[in-house]
Amino acid sequence: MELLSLQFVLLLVVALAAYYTLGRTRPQAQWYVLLAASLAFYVFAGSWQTLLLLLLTSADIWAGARWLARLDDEAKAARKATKDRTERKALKERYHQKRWHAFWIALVLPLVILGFFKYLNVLLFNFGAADSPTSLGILLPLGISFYTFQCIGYLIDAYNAKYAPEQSYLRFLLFASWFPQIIQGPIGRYDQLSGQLFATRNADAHGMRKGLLRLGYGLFKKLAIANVLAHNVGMVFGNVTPGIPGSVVLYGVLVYSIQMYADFSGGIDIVEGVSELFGVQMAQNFRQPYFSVSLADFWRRWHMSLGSWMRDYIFYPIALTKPMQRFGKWAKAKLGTHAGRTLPACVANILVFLMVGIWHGADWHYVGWGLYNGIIVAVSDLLAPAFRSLKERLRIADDATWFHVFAVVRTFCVVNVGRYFDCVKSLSDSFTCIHATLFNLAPVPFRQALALANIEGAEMFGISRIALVACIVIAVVSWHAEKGVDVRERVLGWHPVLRCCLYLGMAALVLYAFDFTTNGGGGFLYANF
Amino acid sequence: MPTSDARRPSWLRWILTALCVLAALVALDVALTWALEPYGSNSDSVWYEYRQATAEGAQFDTVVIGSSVAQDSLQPGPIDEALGANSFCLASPGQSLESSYEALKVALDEHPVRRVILGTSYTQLAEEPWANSNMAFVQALCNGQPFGEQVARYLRLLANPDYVGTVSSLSFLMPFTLSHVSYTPSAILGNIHNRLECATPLEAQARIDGSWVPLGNGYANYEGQVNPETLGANLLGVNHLDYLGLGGKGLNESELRGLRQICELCEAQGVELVVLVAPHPRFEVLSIGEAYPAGMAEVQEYVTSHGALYLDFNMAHQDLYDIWEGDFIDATHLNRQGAERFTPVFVDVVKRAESGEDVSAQFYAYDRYDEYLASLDGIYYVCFEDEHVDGKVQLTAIAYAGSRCQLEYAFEMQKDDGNWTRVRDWSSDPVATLPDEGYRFLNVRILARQAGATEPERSHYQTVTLL
Repeated sequence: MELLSLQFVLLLVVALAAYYTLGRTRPQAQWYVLLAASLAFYVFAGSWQTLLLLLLTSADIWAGARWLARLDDEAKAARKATKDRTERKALKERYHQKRWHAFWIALVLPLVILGFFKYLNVLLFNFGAADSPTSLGILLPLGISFYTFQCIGYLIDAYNAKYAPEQSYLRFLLFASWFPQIIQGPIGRYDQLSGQLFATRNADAHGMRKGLLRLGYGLFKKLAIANVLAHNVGMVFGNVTPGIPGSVVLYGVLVYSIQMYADFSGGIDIVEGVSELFGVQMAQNFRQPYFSVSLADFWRRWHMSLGSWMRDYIFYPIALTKPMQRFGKWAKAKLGTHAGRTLPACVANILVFLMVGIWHGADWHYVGWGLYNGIIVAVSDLLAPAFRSLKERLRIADDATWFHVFAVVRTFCVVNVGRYFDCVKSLSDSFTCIHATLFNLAPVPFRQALALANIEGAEMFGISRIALVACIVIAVVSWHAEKGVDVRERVLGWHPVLRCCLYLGMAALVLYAFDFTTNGGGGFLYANF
Repeated sequence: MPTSDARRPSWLRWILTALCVLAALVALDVALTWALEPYGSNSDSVWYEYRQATAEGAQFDTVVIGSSVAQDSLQPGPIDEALGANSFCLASPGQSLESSYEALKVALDEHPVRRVILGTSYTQLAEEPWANSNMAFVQALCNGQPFGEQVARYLRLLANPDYVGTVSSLSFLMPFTLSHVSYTPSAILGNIHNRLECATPLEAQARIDGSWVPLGNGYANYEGQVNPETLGANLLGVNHLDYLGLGGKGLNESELRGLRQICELCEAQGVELVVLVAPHPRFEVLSIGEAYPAGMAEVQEYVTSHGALYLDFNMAHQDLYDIWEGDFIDATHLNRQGAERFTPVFVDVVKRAESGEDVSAQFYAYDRYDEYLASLDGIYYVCFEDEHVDGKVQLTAIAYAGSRCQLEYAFEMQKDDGNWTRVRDWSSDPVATLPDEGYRFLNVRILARQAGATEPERSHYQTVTLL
């Protein structure tokens, strides 16, 4: 079952009706509706077999967290029972060991499942033990990366005793399987989500209107931009040849950038809107990323839930390890205070981006993508004092508008260089595209080059009018959001006639572009992770 | 979490608001469908004619069902005269076999049908059914029918496992998204004019499709002739199945389901079933390769086990029916002249089979496919594939010919002055490499002949992108 299907609409309507009916009669049972809807969605969208994997992963993590909590209780009781300081210290150490073992025992199963389904075939292929990266026919279960990361985050929080683990498996299962987020995120946190999932509530007309508006906005991005541009992106990067003109590559990268944003953020808006219809606010995943002033800023605005997950569960644990601290001290002594403070973070950043790259897929070009982003962020951190000093010498004020615009454009360029590693099929294609951009920019006129690459609308420089109009709408909305305007509140405050005109205009664009969805299908780029 | 009671509307208000919004959406949908969906589809015409004839008291004892290959291959005259039948053709373009089954049920309910002719092809059996054709079929079938029946048919379409959970299920609610006139004011106004001015879908179809030749009782053929030189490598590629995205998938399960339903229904009702695999250009059948006899043997075995007569005219001995390229309008469908030549042959075979004669000897058996290949003595199509190998463009010839033919190929490229220059002279080697000319378009032509011949028998050109 795709999100863009009648069956999903029906599931949503039935679930909403059941949820709010129970809200008036048996509010304490409302969350069972959410659980039933989530499991039903997962079975219809995937299969019974993939549901079993989800149940297995969630049960393992839930039991692991409960085990950790029990060990905590035992440790507290044992330490209470003894007054001898040495013995208490020994007890602490012993329970620390036990907790460490419990943590890893619980962690192994989800990692093995994820590794088997996502990486085994590619690894075997790289070691010559498989004919192709897909020759074993292992299909990636729907949303496995998302729910596995969400569960692992919960386990790490439980290990760090951030909050008391969930007592009920079914309640934890709802957290792990909450249907709007399971296909493409955002990656939720238990302490932020559970309270909302298990709350009792009645229908709130204003909240539902806001949710519907967000859902509609997501559909608009997905159908009027992402699906319209998908064909041309495929044409450019589906067949990268050594002679491909750099102009075509540049065109492809820019279009891919727009398509990717519209697809992913559109998908997230859809599921956030769906979740809001139930009164559940999921984690924010996008905050106008193309208004970022640096690459680090970009990654704080793009796929935010993954970024914060990586920061909390990978970056800090690496940066705060003893070897890293020693490394920092050494760097401080040899290279100065700034290097001492930033070098461990630089190493951790590179490792984190490497992991994010591998999370995107078990392919070398994703490794290249991760390294590129990690190194740029690390070098920017290291050179920050030099940049500051340069700005002072050039007398550039921090709040200068032109410099802000320059920084936004510069970041957009830097991000798009990274796309060279992302939108292709292999690392060698990445290098071919970079080479073409640098050394073979325009061997033939641009329009002819687009025609050669089978780009739709080559005579119009490959620009789709539908997507262009839709992009202008998105740009205006993003601009206002960046200025701190609550766009949805503002639109809902408009005169009904004006609002109706806006809705009809956007719906007309969506319907006008619907052929692209009919022909290309309704899937999402991030649904395959 | 606090419960929001501040602005809680009453249930009644909720329901009324929802109903109003729903009604507005439905009205908009109906209006858009009326304005944008082309009036006068082939399915519309067929079912309009059928309803008219039935209302006038006509009684049909023979019905033709199936997709466009069924409709385009047959003409009513020979069928009615030679078989002593009163036939009606319910076949329409893109009609899936499950839709054919629905059509058959309607005909069996309303007419004393004793013979069913199901026209099909390997392509139809292997392809996913098209959502837009299924929608058009259901719409045409529902036209003028009781509301309850319409609802039931639409629900059945929505519950079709091929579309459940896909974006097509949403498209069915907005039919104009599946099939619409071009989004230009003139096209939309033209469609509205057709709806307002044309008394019947037949009239509208005649207005929008000049090559369509209606023959009455649902039958229709098309005028036109295929030009193999312009088909292009895109159509055939290495393998026709690859072009269709079907390579290695075998026959489509939902089409087979439809076939089974038809066979079982005919058997249960004691109705004679003739399964006609309509003739296709030789090159199309050859391009399918070994998958053709393997897949069709399965079909033959199934339908004959249900007592049906199975006739694959692609496998017919040349003395029974020879396939002529000029008889086709495109790579799949017979034109009017082709249908005129084919129908009497088909009817004669059916007649003889009905009288008890074993006609199987006049067709090559699938398990002796090599005999069929050996019987072919021409080159039916040639094209080439281009790929970039070690920094150069490599061309590989693809030819569809009889198995005894020994082929030679030559390659030419078109220079800027329009003249063709030979880049590789005649050779049995199907592979050639183009000289490096920089990144550009280039028209490349392949010529094919049989060894010993002096003139090329086939040629084909296409545009190649150099590195």
